[in-house]
Order: sequence, then structure tokens, then C-alpha cells
Amino acid sequence: MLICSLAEKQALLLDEILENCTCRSPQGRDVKDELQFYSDTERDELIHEFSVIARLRRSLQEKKARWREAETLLSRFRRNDESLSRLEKGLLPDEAELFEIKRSLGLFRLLAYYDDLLCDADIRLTDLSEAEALLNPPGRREEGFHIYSAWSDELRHVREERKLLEEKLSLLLREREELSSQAAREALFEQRAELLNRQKKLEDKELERVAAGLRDWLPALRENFAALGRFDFRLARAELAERWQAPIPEILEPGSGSRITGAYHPLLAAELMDRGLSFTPQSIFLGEGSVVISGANMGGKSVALMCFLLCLLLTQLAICPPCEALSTDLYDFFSYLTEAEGEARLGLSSFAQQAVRIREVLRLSQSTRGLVVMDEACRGTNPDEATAMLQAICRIFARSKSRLLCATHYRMPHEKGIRHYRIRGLKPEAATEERVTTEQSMVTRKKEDFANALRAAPGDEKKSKSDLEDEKAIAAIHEAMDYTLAPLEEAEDIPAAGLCIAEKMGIDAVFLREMRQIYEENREPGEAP
Amino acid sequence: MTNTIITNKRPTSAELLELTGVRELSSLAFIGLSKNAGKTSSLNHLLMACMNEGFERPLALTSIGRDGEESDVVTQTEKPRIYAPAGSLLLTATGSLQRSDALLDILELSGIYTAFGEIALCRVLISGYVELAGPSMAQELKLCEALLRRTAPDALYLIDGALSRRSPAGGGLSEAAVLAFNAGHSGRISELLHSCRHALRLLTLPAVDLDLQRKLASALGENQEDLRALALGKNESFRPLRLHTLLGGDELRDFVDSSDRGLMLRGALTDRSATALLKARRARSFRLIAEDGTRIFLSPAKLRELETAGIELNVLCPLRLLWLAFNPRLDDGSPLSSTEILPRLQAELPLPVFDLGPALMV
Repeated sequence: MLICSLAEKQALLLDEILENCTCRSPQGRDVKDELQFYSDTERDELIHEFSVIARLRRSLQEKKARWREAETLLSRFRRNDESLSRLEKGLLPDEAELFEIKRSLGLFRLLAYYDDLLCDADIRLTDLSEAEALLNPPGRREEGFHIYSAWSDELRHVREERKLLEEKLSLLLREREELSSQAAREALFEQRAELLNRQKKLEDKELERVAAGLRDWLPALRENFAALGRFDFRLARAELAERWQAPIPEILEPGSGSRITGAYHPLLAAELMDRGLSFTPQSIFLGEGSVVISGANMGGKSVALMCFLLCLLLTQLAICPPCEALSTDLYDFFSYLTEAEGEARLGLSSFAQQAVRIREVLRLSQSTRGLVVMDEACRGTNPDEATAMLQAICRIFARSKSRLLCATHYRMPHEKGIRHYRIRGLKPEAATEERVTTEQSMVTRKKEDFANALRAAPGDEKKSKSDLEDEKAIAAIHEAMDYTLAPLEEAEDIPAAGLCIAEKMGIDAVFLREMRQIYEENREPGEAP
Repeated sequence: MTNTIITNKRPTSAELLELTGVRELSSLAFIGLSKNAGKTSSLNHLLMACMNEGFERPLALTSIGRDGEESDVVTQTEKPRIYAPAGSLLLTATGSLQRSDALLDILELSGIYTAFGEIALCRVLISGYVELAGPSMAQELKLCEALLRRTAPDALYLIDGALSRRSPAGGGLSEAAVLAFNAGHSGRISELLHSCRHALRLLTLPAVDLDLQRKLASALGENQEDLRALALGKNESFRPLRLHTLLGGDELRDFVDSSDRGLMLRGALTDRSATALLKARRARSFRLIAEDGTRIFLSPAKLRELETAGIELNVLCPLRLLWLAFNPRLDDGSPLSSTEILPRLQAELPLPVFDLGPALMV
């Protein structure tokens, strides 16, 4: 399970990612919406799911045409929950409901012709042809549905009488000037009413018979719908894995750690690609204890956290993760803490909210094993206190069942149980480039990369001047940044890049000069510039 | 349509079919000027005529809203029921199937939902009385027709309107229409003629030229629920007005400017919106275009004001009215003798007028 606020979940773009996993039937969508989370107790089931997905991926490549046909069938299924529920409660379904049930039974029959694909998906459907026969005339199969005359001789006779009478009635209605008498007309309508009454009773009798017969098939029908849902969702996950070219993750024994290679965020990567920029995939190993990621502003620490969290979370949702390779043991929970808004009603500041969240996660970690992801935690209080608190949290998790993955600007200790990574940050040449002033902004020029960043993109004409300036500045920063995540074996000073970023975002030169001056005055001897 | 001479007597089935031109039509709407105008009776007469003459194409029936029920849900007066012949097709809500005594074979479910259930396509196996509860939106009628055509590509699609919405015939939903009207509130012939002429004038307004028709249709496009109007600017440019809903006239008055040579309005054109346009700064020669004649609800006085102000009224989709069905009853259902009224109507109105009489006796 994922413990986070709504805003944090939205920031992960988890729902948007899951939208890419497209089920075609309402039953598939229901299974997907349940979002089954596989913890260590369901390890074997999870391994089985991935082995089926692997098989499905091969099948999708080898049997493309058959899969397209099967997919079309899947999209024709509708919900039958209400009709089945009414049957279960002993109520009489109406003809429209029986038509829907008949349609579903027919679709199951057609789906059974794709038994090789069902086998690839490890799905078994019960043969419901006897149930379907209940809703057809004997020995025939018809696309539509009504209460068939062939079901009952008595009903057939009444309907034949009725047909003759309707023909008389039509004649009467069409040529009413030649009617025999008012009495004759009334007699005809009376006869009609009586026939309709008899017909209705016989039809209801047949309805009850059919309903009783169908009730015996309800468990099998429900199981088939459940199997259909699993089939559809497995197919959706296999297709997504193919689109992402995602690996089948290796599920390990508890205590083995999590190794992720080349993780990326599919939506953020796609956005960057639209803007002509590239996404730097990230790799990491999470063993027991805490992992701290540090680095320059706008270095991609937050995005790295999101990528790792998503990969591991999706894995435990039985969805192949967006990365090159992944092997991991399983967590009982994931916690994601980034911005926490204060609750003014409760008198809680944003810092106090964070403290509450941290408290809960620490309690949970006493009995279960989770991955706690924190992005710039303990902001909102003075930096000395925050540093102390976060250092303590790192040490606590270094000894805990749970693992901590955090990103921070505060200095964290290099000691046992606390491992460090660093985003490399601004490329050295970018920090020392000659600054030029352009007409649009004071963004640092960097040879042809800068020219590329300044190139007008479609839609630019609709944006305000300052929006355009910011976009181009961000693009220039992107070009100047090395987003690679590298392990840090020993303590290293992180070059201060905040002022550089501020300059690239167009802070006025006068203010920048003052900021630089104060920074130099406060900088400790030997500290990296 | 041939120049058939119709006298006071009711047309025969063959004459009715010829007058309606059913053999050349793919769809036909029955619209009424008011509640209880007689459109369902007219529909029944046409159905009977088709049966009498052995009309070879399948008939498909639907309605906008609910029709064929035994009593009017609003006035509680008895209503004529629809008698569907064997072989015809119905597009009606599943909730109305139980209230139909024809034997119906359900062929398909449409995925279109109404207050009375999902719209189902059914075939009539044994003739009988049916209740029609069709879709309530014009776009859904089109979807229903598409569903129908997959089963019966050459069916004659008959659409029964509801209340006085007059919508089913408009917007290109049907090729032609029959208009039903009753004797109104007082039954006075002069008032009746006045209101009929006015209604016919609005319903049969001329269409814009084909080129503009194409351009407007393209600009209106699909999936533009918030598009309320298009201003026709210089150089054949269009300027859209997008609003969740058009409440009154102020938005229109403020939207139109002096360089606009016209305005295409989506939805109803009412006295209120016309008043606003009269106050707007606009070019001297200005054209006001409605989607079709059934969307125009202007009083005679307002129409005169627009004409005096030099505003030309057009429609995007012209309505082909075939004939008029007169129901010799007042709004409250009280009967009138049609022997004096009908000849006057026939003499003074520009289309054939008939009193077809009650379609069905119960």
C-alpha cells in the first residue's frame, strides 16, 4: 500500500500512469481499479503474475491478428452485475436483462475459440453453452431474444390465435368505415384482451422456468466474469510492458535489497521529449538502512525519488516497471512524504503535519517493513534543527526493518547504515561561461545548446513574454545539468548551485551581487564555492 | 411530390403515401405545434397506410421523449397509442417494453440511456400497441439511426416528437416532416390561421447558400457543447462565442460588433435573444442564422421588428414540410367540427391540410 496525501499522489502522476494500462471490458477495469498490492506474503502469486505477463508478451508478438480479434470481443462485454444480482435474489429478470445475459454467454462462447490465447494468459473459462441454450429456441441459436413460442406448445397456440386476431384488428383499424358494428369491434378488443392475458401468464411461466435454470449457472457465470477481468487486466499489463519495453522484475527473498537500473518516469520523459530534451535514467541500490540523495537545485533529486518509488510500487502492483532492470525484495508498505500542507483548522503548520506523518511511519516500521521516501523533509523549521532531526531519522532507519530513501540539502552523516548518492549537478563549464545579456533574458549562453533552447517552439505565440523567458531559462538549465546519480563513498561538499540557478532564472544583477557577497561572507573556509 | 388534387375528403392510403413521398424518403419526422396536436395520430395513419399499400421497406419507429403512453403524463387525458405492424423496428427504452403488448424481439442495446432505461432496437414479431420512449437529444437520435441502419439499411425511419419541442425534424435529423396542429385555445379561425402562418413561416425559412452551409457545418463541428454562436466576420472568418449556457441576450449584444455581417446561433432563437441583437452594434446588412426552423421561437411582433431593422433570417438546415395534419380539438381536448374550419385552412395555407380523424379506436 502507498501512504501519502492526495497532493503527493497527484505529484507522482500515478493515476495518469495507470491510465496507460488500458482494459477493454468493464470487468477488466474493475480488477484494475482494485489495484491489488502484493506484499511478501503473496510473493509466489506475484512471481506467477509476472511469468504469465512474460508469456503474454511473447504471445502478443507471435499472434498479433488473433489478439486483435480477441480484444474486439473483450470490448463488447458489458456489465451484468444488476441482472445477475436480481437472479440471485430470486427476482424475475425482464427480457432486456435476459438479452444482456444471453449476449454475454454468446461472447464467452466466441472467446472460447481463442483457447490458445486464454492458455497463454493462464485463464480458464467454464463452458456455458448449456446456459446459453436456455435462452434460445431448442436446437437453434438466435442473435436476438424474446420468449420463444418454441418453448411451450400452449404459448405457441395462443400466439398463433393472437396473430390471426391482430390481422383482423389491423383490417378493422384500416378500413373502419366498413365496420360491421360497434358490438363486433368491442367483442374483438375483448377477445384480444383475454388473449393477451393468457399469453402474459404463459410468458411469465416460461420466464420463471428460464430464470430457475439460469440460477444454477450463476456461480459458473460469475467465475467466468471474474476470469474475464483477470484476462483483460493481464493483457493490459502485458501491452503496457511492451510499450515501455519494461523488464520482468526479479522478485527476491526478504533482505536482498532493491536494485534498480535505468529508471525513468514515463510521463515526464515524454514531456521532455516533446520539448526536444532528454530524460536521464537513474540507477540505485537500496539495501538495509538509509539512502540519502543530495545535489544541486533543479538537479533532479525529486524526480529520481519519484522514479524509484514508482518502479518499486508498480512492481508490487504486478505491473512491469519503467526501467532497464529491477530486482527487489518486497515491502509491506510505501510511504511518500514531500510537501505537506498545514492544516490551519487543526492549528497545524506544514512542519507539524510532516512531524505527524513521520511519527506514523516510524510506528508502522516497528512491526512491518516499508520503503519510506522523503523529499526535503523537515523544511519549515530552522535549518539547524532540521539537520539534526533528519540526521536522527537517517540513523533510526539505519537500524530499522524499513528502509529510508531521502533527498535533502542538509548535511547527513557518512556512517554505517547511511549510504549517499549525489546528483552531479551543473556541468563545470556551465558555471563559468561568460554571461551575456540577450534581449529576452539574462540566461547564460552555452554555445549551440543555448541557441537550441532559444529556438521558437509551436505555441510560443500564445505565451506571455515572462513565461517564454522562464521556459527558455529552464531549457538552458536542463542543457547545463548533469543529472547522473552517482554513489558517494565519502563526505564531499556539494557545490552551491542555488545562486547559479537564480542567475539563470533571471534574478536582477544588483540583487545577485548582494546575494553572492553575503554568501562569501558566510562561507566557511575550505567550503566549495 | 406530384401535384395531387385533394378534396375535403380524407386521403386514401395510396394518396397519403404519394403525398408524403415515402418511397423516396429515408426518414420522416412528425412534429406538433403544441401538446396534443395530433402527431401520434398522424403517425398511426401513415403506418396504416403503409400496411394497406404493402409498403415493401421496413418501418422503424422512435420518438424524442415518450409517446404512445395511454394517458398524458401532464394532463392525464387519454392519448392515442401507436400500433406497430409486424416486421417494423422500434428504438425505444427498455422501461417501455413492458408497457407494449406487441411481441418484440430485442436485437441490440444501444448504450444510450434515458430516464426510462437504455434504448433497445427491437423487431415487432406480432403487431400490437407499443409505447415509444426514445432518446431526448438530437445527437442520440443520429446514433440510434446509425444502429438501425446496421440492421435495416433501407428502413424508413419515422420519428415522433414530444410536446412542442419541434426538435426531431431539425438539424438535419430527418429529410422531411409532417406538422400537426390543433384548434388552439379558442378555435377561432382567424387566430388559428394567424398562428399557423407564422409557424409555417418560421419552420420553412430559407437555407443559407451551400458554400456557407458547408463552412458553418464545419465550424460547428463535433464535440463543441460550449459553442453558442458564431459571428460571421469579414473575409469569411468565424468568431466563436463559448459559454456554458446562454442565459439572456446581454452576451449576444456584447459579442456582436459592427464589422460582423451575421450571426449563427446555436439552440433556441427567442424574442429575448432577438431583442438583444436589435440593440447590438452591427452592420447595416445583417444576417441571423438558426440551425433550423424548429429552433426559432419568435413572436410575430418580434419577427416584424427584425424585418424592419433589415435583419435577414436564414437557417442552416432547411425543413421540408410535406403536409399538415389538423386535429379538430382545442388545447383542452374539447372537440370541434372541422367542416367549416378545414376548407378555410386548406384554402389559405400553402400546404395540403387534412383532418385524418382518430387513428385508432380502443
